[in-house]
Amino acid sequence: MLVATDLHKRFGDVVALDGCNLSVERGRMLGFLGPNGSGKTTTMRAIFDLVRLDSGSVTWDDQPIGREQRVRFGYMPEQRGLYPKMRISDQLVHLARLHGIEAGEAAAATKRWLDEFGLEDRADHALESLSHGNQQRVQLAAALVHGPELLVLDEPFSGLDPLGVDSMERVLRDLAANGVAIVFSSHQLDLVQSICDDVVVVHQGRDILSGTLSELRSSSGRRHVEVEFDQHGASDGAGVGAVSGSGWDPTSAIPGAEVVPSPPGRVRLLVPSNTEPADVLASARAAGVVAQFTFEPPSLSELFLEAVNS
Amino acid sequence: MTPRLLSSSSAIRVVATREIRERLRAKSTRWGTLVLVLLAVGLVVLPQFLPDDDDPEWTVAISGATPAAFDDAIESINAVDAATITLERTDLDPEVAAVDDDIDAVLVDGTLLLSDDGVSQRLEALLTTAVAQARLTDELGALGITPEEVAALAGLEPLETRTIEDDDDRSAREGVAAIGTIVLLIAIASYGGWVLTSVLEEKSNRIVEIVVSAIRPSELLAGKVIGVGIVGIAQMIVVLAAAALAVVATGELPGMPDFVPGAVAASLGWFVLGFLFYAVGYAAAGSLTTRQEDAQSTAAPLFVSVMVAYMVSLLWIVPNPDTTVSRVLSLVPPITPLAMPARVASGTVEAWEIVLAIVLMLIAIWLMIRLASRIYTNALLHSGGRMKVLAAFRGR
Repeated sequence: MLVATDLHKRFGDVVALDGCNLSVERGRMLGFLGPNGSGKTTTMRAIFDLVRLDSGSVTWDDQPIGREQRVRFGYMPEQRGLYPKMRISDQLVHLARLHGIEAGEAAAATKRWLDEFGLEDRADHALESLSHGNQQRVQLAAALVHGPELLVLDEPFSGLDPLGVDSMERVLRDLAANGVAIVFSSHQLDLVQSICDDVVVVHQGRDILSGTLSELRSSSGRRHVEVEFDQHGASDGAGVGAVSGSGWDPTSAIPGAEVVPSPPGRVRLLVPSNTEPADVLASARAAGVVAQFTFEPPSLSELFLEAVNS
Repeated sequence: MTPRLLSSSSAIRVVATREIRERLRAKSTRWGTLVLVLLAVGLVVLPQFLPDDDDPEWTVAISGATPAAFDDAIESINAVDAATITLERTDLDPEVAAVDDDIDAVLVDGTLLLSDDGVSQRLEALLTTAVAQARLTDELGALGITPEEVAALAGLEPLETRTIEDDDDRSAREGVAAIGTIVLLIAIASYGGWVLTSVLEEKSNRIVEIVVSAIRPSELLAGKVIGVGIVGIAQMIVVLAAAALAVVATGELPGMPDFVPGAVAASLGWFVLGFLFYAVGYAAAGSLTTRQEDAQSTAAPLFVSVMVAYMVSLLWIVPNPDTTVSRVLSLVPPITPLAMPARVASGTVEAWEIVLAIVLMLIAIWLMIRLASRIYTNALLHSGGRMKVLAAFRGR
């Protein structure tokens, strides 16, 4: 388990980390979120001793992180970097060898990952001759090739097309299922919501939100409601001729409800989390024919914006 | 598959192996080697086609009277001396004859030597001897002594020659020392440059951040310097072998001074020490920056130091190998790798001097490694522009 506790780092007048905490267990995937300049990259670099912390500790399985620990980690830096003119299979073998993997095993692992990413026919190509997306895949393979226990990935999805995102997501899921602890930073909140187990939101150098994704969402004091009324069906008690649902006044019908701007034909509400979904639905049905009804906790992006703006 | 820390020696070997393989695979290395081989072979073969000044040929026009025995005297000189003087009678005005491009000089009345572009000292001496000998033969002939007897008396027989420490050998030694110094300068500066760019490449594309999460920066530094050094030595050996083959093929081998193979071997040894010293420094210089333009200036102190060592060796030590100043200078570590081989080739060096120079050099290398790996370790992870040496030394 990776635990970072109360990290502090200052670069001159700029406070990069101001009491940041995070932890990730084996077999889980942690999404590390935050606006630009909030301290995500500094935290990740601190795990690899690429930044010397002013204070705070980072441990792996309760041990302070030293060379013994670090060699069992995999890192994909924010600024990509491999040897541009070296053949990709040679670089992967080289990196595996640097992490103490025997030559034969290194070659086998290299082949396995190149196959996984569909790069088997590019094995003898120089890195610089590959497309941006393929270079990104090689970069991830470089972080994986020695079979790390902890993966630290800085923006692994940036610049990937949907196919690339899909294959990288699949690879990460498999690794987590095999007991690898994974931390990755991202701006793509929908993506994080769809694949992460845990989330830490960092803002101005400190973690302002952390926990499992489902906990965070359900612990929010608000729920999102969206009602879509059927504009063609028969009206149901709201008076003939009126547009379906147009007479609905949820703010008076539901205590604490707040109307949020929405497209025509739909009504979006924020309601307190203790509101009964059935009551809301009943109230809406009294106003028109309901074609679609959703009642859900806020999305990760809403939680994120809420946390960062408060 | 379990990742584990490599021992230092394994880490260095893995880094050096990559460095060697990528260097050998690079087109620049292959073409560079080819150019150097052609250059070396050319230097050996080309002099064969140059005119040989040892057996000069002159054409001398004779105007007016000469002593009767003059032609015989020239003939005997031609026979003994490694020179050919062709005589040609002329009725032209001597000053007109002298302008002729086929004529090297005009001998007028056996007393005046005319030429339009100067007469070589040797030709002048030979003609003077011939005229004197002809006059003597004429005078003695008048006394009834035959020209054959005169020739026997004058002793115009080739002298037996035996070479000891003479000027030819001296200049050959200086020549070898000078060439060795130049080759060492080029080798140290260019292989040092390889180390510099290799460090720069790793730093500017950030792969170093991944590498040093697995191995120590000092192991990376050592592997890099050793890898480049091995390729450098291999390249030098290929070039030297090509030059040696050319020497054998052109039949120049018997004429090669005995001290040359020893001087070449000694130079290779000094190259290893000099390369280690400077390459480690170049690695530190490369780590101080991420941009090629800045690398020129961070490496400048090293380049200046090699150049000073070169100038001192070529301009002072080669001509004066055994003076006290030379002996002291050749023990100063940054100068030693260029100065010592120059002294070995062109002068006499005591065994203790060589041992002392090697010991001092090893100490200097050790200090350089400590200094450079500290700078390297601290500067490697510093991004954003050029870093000052002192800041890198003090650490983050």
